[in-house]
Amino acid sequence: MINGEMSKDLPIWIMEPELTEKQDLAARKLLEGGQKKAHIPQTLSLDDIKQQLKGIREDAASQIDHLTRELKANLNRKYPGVKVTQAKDEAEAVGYITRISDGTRTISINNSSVVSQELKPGLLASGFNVINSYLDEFEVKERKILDYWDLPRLEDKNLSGTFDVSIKMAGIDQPHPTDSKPRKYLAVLGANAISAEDTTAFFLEHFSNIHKDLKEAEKVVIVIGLDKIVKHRQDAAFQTKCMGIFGMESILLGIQPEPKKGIAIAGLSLPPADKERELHLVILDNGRSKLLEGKFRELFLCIGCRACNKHCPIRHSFTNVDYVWTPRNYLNQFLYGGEKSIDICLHCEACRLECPLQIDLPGLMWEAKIDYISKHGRSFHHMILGTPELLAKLGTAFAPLANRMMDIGLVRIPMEIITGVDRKTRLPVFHFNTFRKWFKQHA
Amino acid sequence: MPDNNLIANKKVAYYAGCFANYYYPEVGQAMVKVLQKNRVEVIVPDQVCCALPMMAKGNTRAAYKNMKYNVKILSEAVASGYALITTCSSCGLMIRRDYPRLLGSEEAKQVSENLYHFSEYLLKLDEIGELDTDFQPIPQTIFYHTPCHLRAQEIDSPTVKLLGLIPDITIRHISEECCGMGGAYGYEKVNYELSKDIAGKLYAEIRENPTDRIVTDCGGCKLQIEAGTGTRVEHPIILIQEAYNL
Repeated sequence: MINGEMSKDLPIWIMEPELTEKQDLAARKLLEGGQKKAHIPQTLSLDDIKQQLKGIREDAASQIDHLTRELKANLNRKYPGVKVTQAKDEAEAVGYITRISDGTRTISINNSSVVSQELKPGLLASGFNVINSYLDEFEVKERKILDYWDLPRLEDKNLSGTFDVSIKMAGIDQPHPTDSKPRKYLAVLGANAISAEDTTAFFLEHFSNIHKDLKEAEKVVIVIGLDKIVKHRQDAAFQTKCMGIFGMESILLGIQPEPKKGIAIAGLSLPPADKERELHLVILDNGRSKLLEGKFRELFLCIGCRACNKHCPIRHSFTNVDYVWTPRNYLNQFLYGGEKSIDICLHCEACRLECPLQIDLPGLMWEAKIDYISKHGRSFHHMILGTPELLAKLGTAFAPLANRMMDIGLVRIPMEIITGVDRKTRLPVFHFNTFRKWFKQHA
Repeated sequence: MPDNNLIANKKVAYYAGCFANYYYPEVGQAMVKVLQKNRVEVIVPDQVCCALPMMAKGNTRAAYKNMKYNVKILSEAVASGYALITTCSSCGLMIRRDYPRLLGSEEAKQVSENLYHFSEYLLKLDEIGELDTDFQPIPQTIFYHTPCHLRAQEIDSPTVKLLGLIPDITIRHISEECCGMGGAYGYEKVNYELSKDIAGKLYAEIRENPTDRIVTDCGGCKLQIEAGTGTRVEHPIILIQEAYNL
């Protein structure tokens, strides 16, 4: 490990859950005991953090073209050994990875959506064996986290101290001869943020899969979604930290019900690397710049923390999809043609409340639906259910009869076919004397 | 900004919504009686469906028509010095949050800013000493279910606070689990199993926390909980009516 300030190669900083909070507690105890005054870091409130994050994201969104140019220029000037490319879509990125793979068929990815959702299908289709070690590591119980409940949670006060930079790398050179030797595989890793100004790339790591891949893969491809580029290093660090702070619980919840047991890259017998190691950096657009032009602009602000999943009532039902299911990723899949409908959202708005950037996902789901309907029309069932007051008026006009009919199985079967209303549901009772009739009589 | 004079005016335009009008008229009746008990002038202006279920099923053209109609009527009421209230958390969310966003008009904003959930309004009356708090005791335990659409209004928990004013009442458990109904969502054959699966956590909470009564502000949640537990679920305004012995 070396100090990134003096880096001779691309600075790669890894942020991990830290023990700062416990240190703070100890410091407070010291103070209470009247002992030597201990340093207690300034705590930031949840609102302060959200406000600061919003500022960083809006700033990046307003000048993304400039930031991208600045990043590329700085990379080329400072670190010519890093092979930088820009891909307009996932096909271009997958094509690039295929070209540089040099016959290597094993790819290790991290859990970042940019690779696990956007690139993985293309990599699989291109015949790669794609492995995500993250879930496997969750089972292994790594060095720092013995139990996932040890991890800091949002309720804790010192939010700013929950994640810290713990590893600073300069490129992918092996820092120590006793470390494991590079092996013949590719690591395709989605970064959490990068500074256009000084090019420090940030990863958030819960376990050790990213660090291992950076040290062991013969070729490393760091994938930077356009939305991960920010101006300053401290902003990139803060954005990465926020991913940890806001995403922690939802990431854990997401893998809790039925964790998929995967094969870890560590468990594979791969030959040792026989060529000089290479570091590639792919700047990926894949629809991101288009987001900025239209009504889905807010999605560009998303840091991918997956907080939207935390209270989503339907998240448990989608553990078997090929990507990490979150309301945001579901909308993304739909916008890019990977989902056929946008009707699964209950519109409970829990995602909006949890989002550190208050992205109006429910509103955007509606926008996506409006676009879809304008092109494809509505289903017959939704045409009927989309006129609730008309149905209520009809039911009310024939209230006693309508209520009795609703209890007859032979009526409910054709009703199910026509309206799509499940025959097993208990329907509300119509009242011939509506409230407003009553009010007119009594007011 | 909401016009605080509208609270002091003690004049209310009640947006009952479809559920209280067609399916649960006792709620509307209780609301009117409670307001009258507090010497609040109440009108029920002409109104149409808030458009939330229409938007949910993609009937956008009719939805916009309804929204504009309601905004016209309700903004006139505000201009005449009436505060707006609703007993339905879903209508409340739609009018409060989505009307100004979707319509973008000054009238929609005005309606949004001057609409209160009924319990929020009654608490505001209490703040200015205008709520009759001479409630009869209700020595019962309550399981209170917070509807998602009330939670989404980000107005804290006015209903819990209001019920807390009733002597001897014990709010034993407050649940924030989604009931899975989502308007007509849970009725649809394609969502039926998923909807019941979501409700499973709420049903378990109810089983683990037995109380004398289950209370929620949302008609859809009421139906889902009743279907899953076989227990009658009340709207909180019914309890306030009882506490006034009306």
